[in-house]
Amino acid sequence: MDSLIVLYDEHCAFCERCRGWLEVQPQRVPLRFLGCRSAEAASRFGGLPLGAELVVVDSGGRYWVGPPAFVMCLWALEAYEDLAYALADGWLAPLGEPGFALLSRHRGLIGRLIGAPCHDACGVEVAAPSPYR
Amino acid sequence: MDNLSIVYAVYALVSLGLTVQLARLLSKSGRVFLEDVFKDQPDLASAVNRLLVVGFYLVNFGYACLLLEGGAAYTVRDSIETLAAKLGWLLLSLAAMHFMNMFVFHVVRRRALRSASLPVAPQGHLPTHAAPSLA
Repeated sequence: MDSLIVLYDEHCAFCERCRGWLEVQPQRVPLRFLGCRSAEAASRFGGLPLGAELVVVDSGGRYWVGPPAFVMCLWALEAYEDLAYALADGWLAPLGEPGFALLSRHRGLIGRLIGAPCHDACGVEVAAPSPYR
Repeated sequence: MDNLSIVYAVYALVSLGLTVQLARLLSKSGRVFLEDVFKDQPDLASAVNRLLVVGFYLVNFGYACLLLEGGAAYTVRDSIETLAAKLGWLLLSLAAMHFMNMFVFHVVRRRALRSASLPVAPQGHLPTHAAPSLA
């Protein structure tokens, strides 16, 4: 795997903060970020539930949606590889999926709590015309 | 005169024999694990194995020495009880060390096995023409 493309919600200030954090972490697998509401995202990944969930696509076209996508982001970081395995199927597995689902669902609220409210359509699924639908 | 010196002598011999035997067993069986994990670095496998055995010896001989002192041995019954109590604690410490070593092997092996696999399987595959190559 050469790289992972992270399709995040650029209308969500909390997601932007997460992006900033991910960008400064040492990466084992390079992470590239693409706003899910961009024209490029719509044209290349239109068949995926962009906006509603975090989506990660690797260089071979394999994709992860929702909590597994969060796990893949952690896995790509040098310091958090162990945590990713623990959250995926290790001793932290009971927290992994519900935890990330909760983060994703309440990102608007979390954004407001940390003083970074959503710009506008936070969490709304992108309704771009797609060749795959 | 009591039998405490005899208890000490028996205890010293038994604890020495037990620790040495267990350490040899550990190093023999542990090598199989470590060689599997460090397939391309046999030197590293034997080094890790030796270090684990050294740690095992240090902890167990240290604990065995601390257990040596004390106890009543005025009668045969006293002596047997004292010896049994000392050996009992020693065996429990050996068991704890043994399980800790097994845990170390387990962790090392699991880490080696998983480095080849992803934490979560992908949920799907995009059609090839959409395969990304973001510059």
